[in-house]
Amino acid sequence: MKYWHVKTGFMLMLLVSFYSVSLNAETNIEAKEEVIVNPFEKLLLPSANAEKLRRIQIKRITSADENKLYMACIAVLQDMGFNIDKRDQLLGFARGAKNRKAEAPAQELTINILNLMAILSGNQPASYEKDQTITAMFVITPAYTGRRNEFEVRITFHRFLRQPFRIQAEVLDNPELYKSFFSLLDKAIFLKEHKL
Amino acid sequence: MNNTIIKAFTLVTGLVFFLTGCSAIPDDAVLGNAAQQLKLRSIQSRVYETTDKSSVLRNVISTLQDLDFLIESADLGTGTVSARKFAMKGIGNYSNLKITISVQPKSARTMTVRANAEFNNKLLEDPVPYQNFFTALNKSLFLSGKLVE
Repeated sequence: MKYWHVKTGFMLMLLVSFYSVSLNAETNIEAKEEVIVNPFEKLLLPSANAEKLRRIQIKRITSADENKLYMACIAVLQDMGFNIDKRDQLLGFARGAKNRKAEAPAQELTINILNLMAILSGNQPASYEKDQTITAMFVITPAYTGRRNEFEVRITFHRFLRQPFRIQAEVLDNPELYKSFFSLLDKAIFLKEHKL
Repeated sequence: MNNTIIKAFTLVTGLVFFLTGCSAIPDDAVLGNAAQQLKLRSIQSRVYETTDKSSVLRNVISTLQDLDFLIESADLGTGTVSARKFAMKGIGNYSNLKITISVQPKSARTMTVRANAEFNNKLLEDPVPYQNFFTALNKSLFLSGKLVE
């Protein structure tokens, strides 16, 4: 048993190094299993209710002339009080906007308290925005059936709400709104096609 | 004595104007990062087998409507569509996403669709959002019978 302590020491060192290597390997596996979250991965993805919205926003319409259909859509937007601000007739696209009041009864009490405090401290009461911009835009695409006189009209309504302590941008998803637009469009097409 | 004061004042004022005029605008802010432009272009572009520019642009608009964007401009002549999406919840918590799509003929039978987006005033360089956009566009083109990649 000559040099027994050297041999034992060597074996111990070997064991420790094996242990540390296996520990590192385990840590590496754990590191690989960490889920890396990309902050941009949700960008440019359709929202959860996109399919439902698509169904209520699109209507297939038969019309002999795309230009007449386009002008009928413009007329309906005007009937609804929109001012047309962007358009390209060659693409069958137009956008209209209107500004309307957006009363905020829930915030009135807070505003009154803040204004009272301002007056008591010798300042002018602040004025708060209480309005909304409603935007409507449509695009006409030839229907996928391939028939020359079939088109799909897609309309979307957006709202940008400005109220005290509340600013919100949203797509309006009330189906009745879209039904009303298409009902008015049917009437407008009838009037255009019969030159009334 | 007065002349000396006037001269010194003019010199100091001139120096101040000179120094403030030299405030540096980083080249990258204007020109973009040249080294990454080629890579970015391939991330942002797809080629479609179609000659119908108008139909592709109409489907681009429809896709942007799917993604809740507001169209800011659309022009068949230049083949471009620009749109903006502004999401705000409460005060100070907002995100601002802008996108421009261009559709240009690549060959006699193909069109290149290129999208470039900006998120909160920064160029979007991550490939995933562009993949998301083209997946949605492919779906729209497929539904209209124009797909083709």
